[in-house]
Amino acid sequence: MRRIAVFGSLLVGSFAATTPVLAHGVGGRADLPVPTSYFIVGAGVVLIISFVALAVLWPEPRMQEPVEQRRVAGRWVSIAARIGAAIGVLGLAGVVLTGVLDGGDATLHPAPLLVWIGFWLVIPFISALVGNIWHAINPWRTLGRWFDIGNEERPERTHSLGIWPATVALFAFTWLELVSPDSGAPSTLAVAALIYTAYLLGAMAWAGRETGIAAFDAFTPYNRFIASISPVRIDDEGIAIGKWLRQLPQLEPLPGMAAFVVVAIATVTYDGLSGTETWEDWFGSTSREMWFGTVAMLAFVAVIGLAYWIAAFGAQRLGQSSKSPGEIAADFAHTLVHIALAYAFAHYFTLILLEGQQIVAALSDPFARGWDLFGTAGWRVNFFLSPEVVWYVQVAAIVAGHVAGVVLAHDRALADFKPDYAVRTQYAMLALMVALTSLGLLVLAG
Amino acid sequence: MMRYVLAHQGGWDEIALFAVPVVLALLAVRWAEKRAKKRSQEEAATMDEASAE
Repeated sequence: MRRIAVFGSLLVGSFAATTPVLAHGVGGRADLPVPTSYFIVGAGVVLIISFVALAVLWPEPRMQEPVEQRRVAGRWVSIAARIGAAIGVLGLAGVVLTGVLDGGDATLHPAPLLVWIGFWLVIPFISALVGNIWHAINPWRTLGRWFDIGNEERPERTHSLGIWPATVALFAFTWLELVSPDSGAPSTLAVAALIYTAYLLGAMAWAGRETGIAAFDAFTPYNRFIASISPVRIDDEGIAIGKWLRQLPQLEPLPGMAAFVVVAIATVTYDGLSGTETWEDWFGSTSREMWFGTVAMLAFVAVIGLAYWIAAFGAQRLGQSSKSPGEIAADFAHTLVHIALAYAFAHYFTLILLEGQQIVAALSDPFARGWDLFGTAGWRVNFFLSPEVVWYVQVAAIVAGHVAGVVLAHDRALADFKPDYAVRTQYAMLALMVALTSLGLLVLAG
Repeated sequence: MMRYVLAHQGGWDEIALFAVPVVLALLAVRWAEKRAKKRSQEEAATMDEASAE
């Protein structure tokens, strides 16, 4: 009964945590046929039903063993890898060159579109479907290969670091995107690209090419984690095809992995909430100060990280595990990857489909000199998505991402804990999922 | 969530609409845990027998 009381209070708490935000009038989609709160409660109910169904119908771990993968061979694989590498280096060169040669007065410029839409959003979303294309595209790996940097791998140098440097780099990148007032300036992006290139080449020289890239490059773990949703595996040996979701439980729980995924989720949440009227009501003009944005984004990371650590602590206590909460947090970090993708997709898919069209115009005038190379400089964005469609896609993405998280966490719990303790270890994790779903939908509705 | 629940001043039918699924869910989880415990005990007994042999 005590466990049930704990379970109940966690769930009620996870819904109640959203109440003050509701009270501030978040709910900008007044045109929807039902109130936002109904969607939030409905999404929570879907998660709870999923949890109960898993407890009853899924008594054995089914996803922990690696599945047999079918290797795809052929000359086209290596050709595709070379084309990918060339695209990556051209993209990097394009960002630097167009940034340096920036005309200065252009509202449409290829560098921000390439970085914030192509590089940051399109590549991970494609990777979730067809495997880690970043592995082939990564321009810094290609540059390292061309210039023979880091030929000697020294994994012992990054063993204790794990992917903590990549986590810090991810935070810095999202800070540039969301907090820096110059995130849209092509010259800023060019300088940032040059600094990042020097940083990664240095990391490769110090730890070895693959070791340095894996530990220090923010986009390598980001794309690798998201691509693990896909049935396709892309690595140095080529392409192999397995099953959906089955690569995720195989991800090694490296130091910093949980923090990395938390940063990915928290920064998107910050982006969404800081753009709402509620945020403006709360903080006014202060919210546009750089120091405030920095502190607020750090606070989001801390709060979501703390909530995840509490869920891991709850699992450890309820499951009477000999592992520490930190080890459990690392063991379950892969269950957050779907949520990170769902948050990113729900927040940014309209950016790709609508604002992304501006690349058509920008390519005709890459240096903002008034050119019209392809006759598309006059292209205007076609707003073909209605707000209702956008909202339903966002709700579906958020709910599906969290349900997948519940499934993966349940399966990992069955493998990590004694069978009769496994379900109860997930009470706190379920509460976290319900809270994150509610938060995600509230932010989107704002 | 409690605010929404308590805001309803309806009769037993509305209480039942909320309470029955909650009770069913809790019973299902409890049953699943008991089943897992039984299976775990059976597996432990089998292993004990195997090691005794």
